[in-house]
Amino acid sequence: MSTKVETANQQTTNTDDFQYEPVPKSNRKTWVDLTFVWFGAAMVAQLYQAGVTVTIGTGGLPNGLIAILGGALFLALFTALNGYVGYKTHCNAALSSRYAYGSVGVAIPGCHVADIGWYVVNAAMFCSIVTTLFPQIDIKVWAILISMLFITNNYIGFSKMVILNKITAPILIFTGLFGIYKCSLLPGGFTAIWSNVFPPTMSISAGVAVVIGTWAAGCSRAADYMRFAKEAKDSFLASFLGFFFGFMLCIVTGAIWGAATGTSEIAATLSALGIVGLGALMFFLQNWATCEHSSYITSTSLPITIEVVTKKKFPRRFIVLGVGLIAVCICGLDIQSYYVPFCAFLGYLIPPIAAVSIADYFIMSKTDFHWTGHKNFYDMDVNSEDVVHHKFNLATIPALIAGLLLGWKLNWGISSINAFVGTVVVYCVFCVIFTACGLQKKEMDLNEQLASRN
Amino acid sequence: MLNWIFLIVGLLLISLLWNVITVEERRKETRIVCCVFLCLGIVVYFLQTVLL
Repeated sequence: MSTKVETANQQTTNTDDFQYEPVPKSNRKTWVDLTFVWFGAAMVAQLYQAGVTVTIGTGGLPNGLIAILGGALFLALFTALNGYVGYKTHCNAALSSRYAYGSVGVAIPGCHVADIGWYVVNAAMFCSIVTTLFPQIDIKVWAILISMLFITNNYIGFSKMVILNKITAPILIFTGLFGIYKCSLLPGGFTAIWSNVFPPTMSISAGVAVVIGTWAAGCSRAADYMRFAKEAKDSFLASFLGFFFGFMLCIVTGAIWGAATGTSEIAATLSALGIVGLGALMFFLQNWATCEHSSYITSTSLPITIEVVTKKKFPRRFIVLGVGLIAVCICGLDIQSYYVPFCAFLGYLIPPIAAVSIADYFIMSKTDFHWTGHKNFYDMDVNSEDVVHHKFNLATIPALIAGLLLGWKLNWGISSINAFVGTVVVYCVFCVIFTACGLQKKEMDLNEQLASRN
Repeated sequence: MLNWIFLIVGLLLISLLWNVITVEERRKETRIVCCVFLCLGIVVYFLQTVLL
């Protein structure tokens, strides 16, 4: 996914994707380009599983669609807000976080290990499907082989990956639509699909949280893509036109599959529809691309945390290697059955981390209570001393803890929204409290010292 | 037995792919990594089949 935007913007060197600096004006893209990239990026095969799971879990297609729509709207707004910060700073998510978290505190959002989980889950999901095709081979064998194979591009560099990526989207769309066609051939057709009722195992609110969890981690890094935007409206247009419709296309397709077959495991769903072979091909290509993306994201954000903690740069490819090794060890342990709990967990874990940056930019930076004491902090160069000498924003700690607890423990509403709103409120309150306690004054003293040196 | 053969052959094929497509400067590192994955894959599969 990230390689699509960055490939389109690369200079003559393969490593120049402005990882440590703002994107220059000459490399920025229009909202049309970003919309198409997000449309394609949002379509991932695991959304079929999510649609199946949420529909069966909430008791049927009507409830499933409500949960999906609610989750998709939240994600689109979440993407737009995160992306706007990326547009404003023209920096990737990890670099943009420096403004809210501090040059040392950026280790918190940089510790992006959620995508290691996504790598393992996506690889395991594909293995469960291929075992249906080749039951003679133990799923554990597939898990080990796939875990190693799916880091090929990021670790070694596989030029043919570009070709695979180009054919993935058409196969994904074709498989989805063909699956819907097969659903229409089942007894009762679409009327029966709409009317089918299943024993509910989750509420609609929980379903919304699962839907949000499918893309929360990716959406929190919207700045990685929207930093290439030319205008402010590009972030919102790309999010609501590109991401929203691409996301809905896949997850609603999965919802229809689930409602038609009554199965909650994607392998069983494909078997019931008689499209295991096509589905396996689609999942192979799509999950390979998704896993490469997950390992890429981990390898670009974790080194920031490692550098902050150890003061040493860590080669990106060793992170990729680590992801592959972890996957080899645990992918064969029926990980795909943890898909729903994993999504639900991410649904309230990730929003608080991004909520801090959103609250800092949209609220606190416009007030006199910004933790650095600056009025126009986001207009400053992210690599300048003015920004870097602000090390750690203490207000992030209570905000993150509160957000996590609210998302985890509050039994009413939607956990993702509870976590997000709670983080924003607590962050703003603690910014004011810490200003009153004199912490902002210390940061302003640093500003004055720097000004006097200059 | 089929599973063991498939596992080892699969790991060797992926290792071969990696060694073919890797750049010359990283060939030695790639070989070491392939050996690590081969050994780890065998150990992991052995443990998972014995313990689970």
